[in-house]
Amino acid sequence: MAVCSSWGTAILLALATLITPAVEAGPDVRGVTPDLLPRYSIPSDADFECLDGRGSVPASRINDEYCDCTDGSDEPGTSACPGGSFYCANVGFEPRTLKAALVDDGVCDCCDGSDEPVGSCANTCQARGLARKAELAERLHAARAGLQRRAQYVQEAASKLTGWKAELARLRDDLSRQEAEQNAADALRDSLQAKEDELKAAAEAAEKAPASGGDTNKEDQGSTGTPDADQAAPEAISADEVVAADQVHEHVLLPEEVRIEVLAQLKADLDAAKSPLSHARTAASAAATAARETKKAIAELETKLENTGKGAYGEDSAWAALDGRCFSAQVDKYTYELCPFGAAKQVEGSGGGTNLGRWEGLLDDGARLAFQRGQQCWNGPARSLQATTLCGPTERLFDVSEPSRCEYAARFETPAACRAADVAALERELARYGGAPVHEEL
Amino acid sequence: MQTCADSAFCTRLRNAPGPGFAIDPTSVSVSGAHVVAHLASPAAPGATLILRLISMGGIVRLHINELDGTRFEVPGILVPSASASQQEWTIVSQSSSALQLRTSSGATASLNFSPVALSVTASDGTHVLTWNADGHFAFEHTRTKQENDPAGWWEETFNGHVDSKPRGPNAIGFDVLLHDTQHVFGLPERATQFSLAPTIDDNGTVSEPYRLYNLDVFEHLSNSPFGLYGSIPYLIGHRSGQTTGVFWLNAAEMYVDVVKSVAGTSTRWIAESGVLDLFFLLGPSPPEVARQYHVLTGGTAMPQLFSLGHHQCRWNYKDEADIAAVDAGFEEHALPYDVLWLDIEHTDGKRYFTWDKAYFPNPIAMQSDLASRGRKMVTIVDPHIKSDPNYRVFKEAEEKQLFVKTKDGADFKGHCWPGESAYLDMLNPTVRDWWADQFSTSVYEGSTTDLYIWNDMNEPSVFNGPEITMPKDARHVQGVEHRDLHNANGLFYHMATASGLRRRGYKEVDTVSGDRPFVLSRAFFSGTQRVGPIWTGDNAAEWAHLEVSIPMLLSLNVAGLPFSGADVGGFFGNPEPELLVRWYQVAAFYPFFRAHAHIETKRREPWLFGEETTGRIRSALQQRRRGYKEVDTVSGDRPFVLSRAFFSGTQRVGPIWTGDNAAEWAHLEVSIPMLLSLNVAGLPFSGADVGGFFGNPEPELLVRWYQVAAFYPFFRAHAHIETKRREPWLFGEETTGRIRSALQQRYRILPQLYTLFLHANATGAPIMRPLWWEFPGDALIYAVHNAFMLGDSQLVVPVLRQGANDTVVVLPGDGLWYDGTMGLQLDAAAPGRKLFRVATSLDAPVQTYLRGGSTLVLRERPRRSTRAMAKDPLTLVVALDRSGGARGDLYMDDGRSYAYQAGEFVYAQITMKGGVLEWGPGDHAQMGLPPPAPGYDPEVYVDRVVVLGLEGGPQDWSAVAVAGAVGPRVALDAAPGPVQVASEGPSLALVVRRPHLPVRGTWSIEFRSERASS
Repeated sequence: MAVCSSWGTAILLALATLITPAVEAGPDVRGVTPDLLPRYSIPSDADFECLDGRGSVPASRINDEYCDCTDGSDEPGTSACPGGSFYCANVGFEPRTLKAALVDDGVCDCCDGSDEPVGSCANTCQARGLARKAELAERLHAARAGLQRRAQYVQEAASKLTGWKAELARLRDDLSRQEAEQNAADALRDSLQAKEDELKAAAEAAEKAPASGGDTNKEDQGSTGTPDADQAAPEAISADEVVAADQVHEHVLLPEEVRIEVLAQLKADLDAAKSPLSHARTAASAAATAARETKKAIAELETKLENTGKGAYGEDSAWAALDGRCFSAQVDKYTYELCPFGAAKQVEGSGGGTNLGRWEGLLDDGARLAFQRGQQCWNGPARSLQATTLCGPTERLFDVSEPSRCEYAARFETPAACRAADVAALERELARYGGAPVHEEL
Repeated sequence: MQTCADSAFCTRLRNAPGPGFAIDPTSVSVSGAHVVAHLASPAAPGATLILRLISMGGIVRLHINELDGTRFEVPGILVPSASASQQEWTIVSQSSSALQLRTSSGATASLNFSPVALSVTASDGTHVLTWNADGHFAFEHTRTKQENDPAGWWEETFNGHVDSKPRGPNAIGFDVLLHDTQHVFGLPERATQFSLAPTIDDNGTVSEPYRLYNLDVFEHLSNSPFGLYGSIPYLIGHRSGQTTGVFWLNAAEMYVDVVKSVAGTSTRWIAESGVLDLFFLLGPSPPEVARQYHVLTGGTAMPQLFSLGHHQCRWNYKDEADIAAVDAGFEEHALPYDVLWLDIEHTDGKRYFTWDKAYFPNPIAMQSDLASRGRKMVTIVDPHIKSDPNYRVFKEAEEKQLFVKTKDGADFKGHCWPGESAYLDMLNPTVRDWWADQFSTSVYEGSTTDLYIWNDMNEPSVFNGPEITMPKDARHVQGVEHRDLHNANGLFYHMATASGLRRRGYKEVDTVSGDRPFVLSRAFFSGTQRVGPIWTGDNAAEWAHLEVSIPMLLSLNVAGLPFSGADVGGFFGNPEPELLVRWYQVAAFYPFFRAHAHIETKRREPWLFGEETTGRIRSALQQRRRGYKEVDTVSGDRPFVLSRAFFSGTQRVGPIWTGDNAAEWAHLEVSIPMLLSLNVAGLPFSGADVGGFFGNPEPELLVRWYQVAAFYPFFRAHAHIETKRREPWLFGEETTGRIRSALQQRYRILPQLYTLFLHANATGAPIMRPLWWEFPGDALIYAVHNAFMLGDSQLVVPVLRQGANDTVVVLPGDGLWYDGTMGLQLDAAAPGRKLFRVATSLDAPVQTYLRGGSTLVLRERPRRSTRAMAKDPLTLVVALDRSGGARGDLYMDDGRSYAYQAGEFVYAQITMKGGVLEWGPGDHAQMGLPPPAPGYDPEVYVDRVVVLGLEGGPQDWSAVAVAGAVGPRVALDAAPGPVQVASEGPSLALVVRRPHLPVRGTWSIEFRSERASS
């Protein structure tokens, strides 16, 4: 059969390749990192030792599209090993180590195209290198500016801290003064209260004292005969009930004129006492409020200072400079407002807004800002927001999104997130592209 | 949701015996494959029924309709070739009370006249089934309304929805007894155990019957007989030696009771309307039943290879940046995937075929970016069309009158995602044709040929309709009531969408960078071929002109201007029909094919000369389509359309998924019986959403789900809009690593999976198979549904329980098995090996066992996508049985187009026997394939052969490759090694290192034990 014989030929050719001499393992072995090249630069009749030391294979088996070493090191330049990796030099850009599975798969992963057969990929490393260089220069510029500004934040934070400490001392002084004032005011109020209580009791006694010659309201009404008198002597009090325990030890019958006079006098005294008592009460209440507020302010400051000690404001407490400030971003119809150390919210139009979470803290040394326990979602979780921080010369909130329902994400650029080490890393990276090795004079 | 008791027809027929129909003996006639008889019953005055009993080889078809009825029969479900399998009956005996016949396959059908009943016995005399054994056959005939008619005949109300019933009671019921059979399967879709539990038990206690009515069930339960989004009215009974299928072709609402007794299992079927069109599939083996169902309803469409990869979906990826970030996440974490999906939020206000420009301003660039790494995108297109006069699709469909109507004739409007919507009448072929055109990349703005489609909500879902669907009295084309076709509604919609994608492939070669020009010229010169076609000018309607057209075109062809043609029919004069037909027949092969006529001639469009001429010209046109376009390797992609609703025949169109499940262990567990039910019911391309649609899976559940889903025929992760993000890298490195392993396992088995799709395509075989499918005689495993076979070679035993640290394994049959990771041999016949417990951890892969006597072809490189592995070498695992033998096969093609139908494929048969492994062309005709094209070579090689179960262990064997039948011999490198390449497992296999043998070819490897020779 023609098909069979032609395929027989193909197989013969295929089999023949098995006995062709092995490829000379030169210094350009595909996919090997430069530091490991000596391990691969061995004579073709020598054995290659797997990098993990768990066996060896003839040099001819290096990059022969069959995986022999358990660590995949015999196939640095093919996709044969499930656990293997591939190194591309990417001259002009940055070297990269790929999973071996990305080699010869029809997608150009290395900018030098070395992961695909020759001629399948354009070398884009120079262009990418230039773009990266420009990007790095820009980032470095921003990072330096940010770092410089961060130094100001640290100073601001220090003076803020000093201010808080001074404020705390002042508040503590205030508090002791306010507490003294409160004690005095309370005492005055209490004495006036006692006096009023006395007068009230006396007045009650006088009012309840029975009139002479009569023991009923009817007679009383009949004798005065005027509605005014009715009003002056409340009808709810009946004459036989007029007994003041602390003044009158037994039923004493007062003459009606005397009783009215005493009553009038007591009422006048009572009225006179009322205004000072009212003032004393107001003063005592105000003193209590002032002391309470001071206490609260003290507690807040104490917490702040305590947290500062625990690093709540990050390294050098630089983030403290943002305490009390808010930043916003517009996404479609929503305005997002983020107040570090405060809360985050979403505002639509002129509405009051939705609470997206209260301040939870700086996570991972300030890599993220977390807000938790916001407004509950219908049939879902309480809203929350996490902002990833980036170093920049000034504050900028952007890329606000809701990747899962009621879980918001954002990016937040701020000098507070800048670090000297990052600037140094950027400088080193830029130097690799031959760019700006010296510090800009700031 | 509605129960049988809430439904008038179900209540009527379930609770009463049939009226006792009998055959009029004088009406019986037998002719060829058909028996015809009339039925009547004194208890059903006015009803005259006509019964047809048709022999179709291993299938017996029983068809009963009203003699002069005009009932609806669902079109397009049976494949056109089904009727070709009709076979003549042989009359065994005939009397005034019974008729006994024999089929060509040797089965006997006995038709009893009074009461009517049909018994079928196998060729060996054993009873297979009896139709109407219990006398439940009822057929409510068409009648006119009377004053005293019972309630529920002419109107019915459920939950405030009134169903007018203009045709009155039209229900049909019957019973089928499957003799000596205790297990019945199929009847999808419902979330319940695989072996269907009885609905009426020994004590007569009645629970809900199995319902078939496609509904959008919100937060469905993990264990309920209630019908879900799709229906296949097909049930399979199995006992040792006899597997039997019962298929009722009817798309109306249906209920099925299962009643078990010592006699067997009685299945009692009730449908609201339509006709009785019942197919008995006589097997007797599981694969034969599958073939019989395949003869009737067709095979699974060959999918594109990418669609067997891992799909990532979420309601909803929000914008282009989100899509880019998710894609980057998969890349960064080395997690293979093939397709990213966009749910409803990507549209402009749920107007399908549009984009929300605020979030998706550059959809073409987005798709092209994914495509540059070999990936695809899927957008959702649902069947509800937003009622908005400014929406092009709505406006056009409204103007063309393409919508389903209410009973009163207005366009039916219901609520769905976009608010008030209209629903296209997909029963109407004209509507399907119009719909298909919407998928052209020139019509669907922002689409590319790397975009595929998801059809959700096609039950159809109508939020304010009865049971969240369309009223039964809504009207389709020609006044057909929705009740008659409800269960097939989703299929018609799915078909129309798939044909749109297919059409897209044929129409457009390059839509991204612009269409190629087409300009016809009459004058020409050297070089005209670079510009465009020419025609031979003003010819005439004469035979001589037809004749001379061939030398004229040959001259042009040899002169370098092949794109040329002559006007069909002749420009001047009027061709007689014969000349016209002949001209079309010839012109079908002209490179340029145009019919043209002079102004003074008569009109001559092909349909103006009578049906016969039209038919002949149609054949000529189809000839051209077949020869020229049907196999279009450049742009003829196979469609990929996922559907939620389905019916018998959906397998020909595309995959389905099990709908809106939940992030619960019970939902993970029930996914297996659900998918097994679909697989045995002929719809293997199916899967359950990984992780569960509703709710948030804990990492353990998510990992377990990915591990199982790696073996689902359709493998998609999906999540509800209110859930937390759950992309695999969001749960820590440990979980990411575990999910990566599961994904890599999927990509490893793709060569086998793709081959199994060929089997499903050609023979109807399931892909995920119940154990009994492969071991039909092992009664111990009939009800098992927590393990399954992937094809015939791999037993898969997943972990489905929270916190499990071991799994129970049942090895079916009594042969040898090998654990899939290590290759350790297990003997199912050995004491304690049939059933055992094996330790497992979350880090361990799903337990798989290779069946002794089978082969498995794998790809071991953990690539990023299916496209990336197209040229990867193969690993052939050969698991030997006790006699040292094994068999298997492998199918490969371009994984994309229809070129395989022109022979561009490899189908290899693999056999190991007597120490010789042979690889060579398989029986392509058996697989429904044409002869292989000689020039086709996928350039794929077998680079690793792993043999398990060699006598005396893998030590001291040598291997020699032999090319062709008696070709040259080359010694191979064979040594003991692990099953998986470069793994640290024990060396339990004989591994042949890099034989580099082509998949397309004939070769063998001879194994020889050095011990024996020394």
